[in-house]
Amino acid sequence: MSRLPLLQSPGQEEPIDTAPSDAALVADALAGNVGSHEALFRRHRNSVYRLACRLVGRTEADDLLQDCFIDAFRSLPSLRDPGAFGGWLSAIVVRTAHKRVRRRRLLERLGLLRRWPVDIDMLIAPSVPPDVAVEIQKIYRLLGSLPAEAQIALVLHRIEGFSLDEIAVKMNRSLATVKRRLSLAAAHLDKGMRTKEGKA
Amino acid sequence: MRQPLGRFLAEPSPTEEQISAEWSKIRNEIRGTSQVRMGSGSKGGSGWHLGRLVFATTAAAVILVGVTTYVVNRSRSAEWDAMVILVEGPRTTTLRDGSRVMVASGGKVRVSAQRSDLTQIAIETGEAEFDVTHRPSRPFVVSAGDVDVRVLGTRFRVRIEDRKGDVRAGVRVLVSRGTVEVSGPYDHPPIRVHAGEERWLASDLNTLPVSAESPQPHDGQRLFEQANLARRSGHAGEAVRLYDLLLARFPNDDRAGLAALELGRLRMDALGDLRGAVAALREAAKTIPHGSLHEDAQARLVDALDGLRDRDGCRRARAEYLARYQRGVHAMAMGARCAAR
Repeated sequence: MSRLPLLQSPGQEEPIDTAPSDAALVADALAGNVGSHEALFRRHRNSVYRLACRLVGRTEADDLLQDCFIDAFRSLPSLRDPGAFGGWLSAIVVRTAHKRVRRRRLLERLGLLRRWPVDIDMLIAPSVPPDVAVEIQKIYRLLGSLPAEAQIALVLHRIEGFSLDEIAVKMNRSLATVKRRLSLAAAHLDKGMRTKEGKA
Repeated sequence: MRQPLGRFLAEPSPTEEQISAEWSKIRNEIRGTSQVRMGSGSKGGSGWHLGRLVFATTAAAVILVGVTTYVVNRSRSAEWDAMVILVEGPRTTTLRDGSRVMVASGGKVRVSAQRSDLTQIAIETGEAEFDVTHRPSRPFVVSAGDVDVRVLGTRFRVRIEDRKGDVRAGVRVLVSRGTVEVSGPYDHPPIRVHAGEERWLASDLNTLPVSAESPQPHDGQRLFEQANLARRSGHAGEAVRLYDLLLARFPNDDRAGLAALELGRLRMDALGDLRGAVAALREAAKTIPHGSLHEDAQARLVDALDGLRDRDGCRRARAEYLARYQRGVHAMAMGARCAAR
């Protein structure tokens, strides 16, 4: 959500908040100021990197981060609502990650790539209880065997906590398609977890 | 609602050197593809003042549009926020592109996207009719359960039909003008429905929230299936209600033990209700006398009692587990349980 820059109040030595909003930075970037591009990058870098890690793993997250920002800045004139830069950017991350995962699946099928080299331990925070860590590790190991779209949808839903509507917008899919992908992913996870734990 | 696991994952903590190096690469890439003014990168100077003027004008326009839209939508008696419009029937709503949505009495429709490249609508319950403005470049998609109806310019009706006796639940599509393309469920190839035609699709993936008024299944198997569907689609509260109902109505059903186990898991993981989880897991361990499911129930019971800091109960449960599953999958984890705090 954009923030209006607060004007300096009489009697105050410093402004309360002069950080420009995303809308302002986008407008300035479109006017040609590289400084505003950099400001947008620095403001959204961590959230993009976090999402990238969770979607494709840390090994590929650096490349994905750069690709997404380059894509975003090149497409900036097409952004209709400058205040929605963050959401628009995360949709770019999701779609780019999806392409990468789909390409990975193809390479795996051709035997040209090992399956899902996500460094899971690096993803998990140090303070996490051991049983939760085991649970997350199981999920991420099983993710690699899901179809690309189901994998992306599941991470956005179970890990990131996005609503179904938000996932549909980010993945550029209908709501019903997102529900089907999540149902497939959940059924796959249930079956995989039972098999791995020796359950019937 | 299940809590996202993201809160347990590490947050990025890059160094300034790393960020600067990343930005340097990005800047070099975009340098050749946009008319950017290279300089110190500062936000100061005449470029920033122009930016402030542009921003002030844009902000005023956004506020004006927002107020106008809010007033218009309040007059339609519909809930509204920046993204979603909820329409409850009987009501007719006109979308920004001139398309009309006529929601029947008892129906509920959510307009989740109105963009130049997509209009997305979901029927949550009941029936709605659509008179869609023709725009070849803009897909107009109506979702009902796991069925999509995609149109380019037509008039059609979509109705969610709940299960009635032996007749399965499904989605009915009736077209009065033009052509629509219907897809789902299970990724079947899309089918075209033309003017004057209607199609009914069975919809087994009942991913919509089950309301309190919806018909209740009459046997344990149906309740179990509905509970599983609710759980898989992320409706933990509804799944808990249905598993509970199954155990209350059909305690001797073959699936009762598994239902109790799932209930225990949900209460523990999704709802944070450890006491409720203990009760369900004890029931599961009693009903499932042996096997991997019993082992899982017993291990979970230890976790839940540990979480409640019931040290005596935890130690008893742990001793029971280790007596039967000394080399079980959870045996190593038992060592860390029930410690004094």
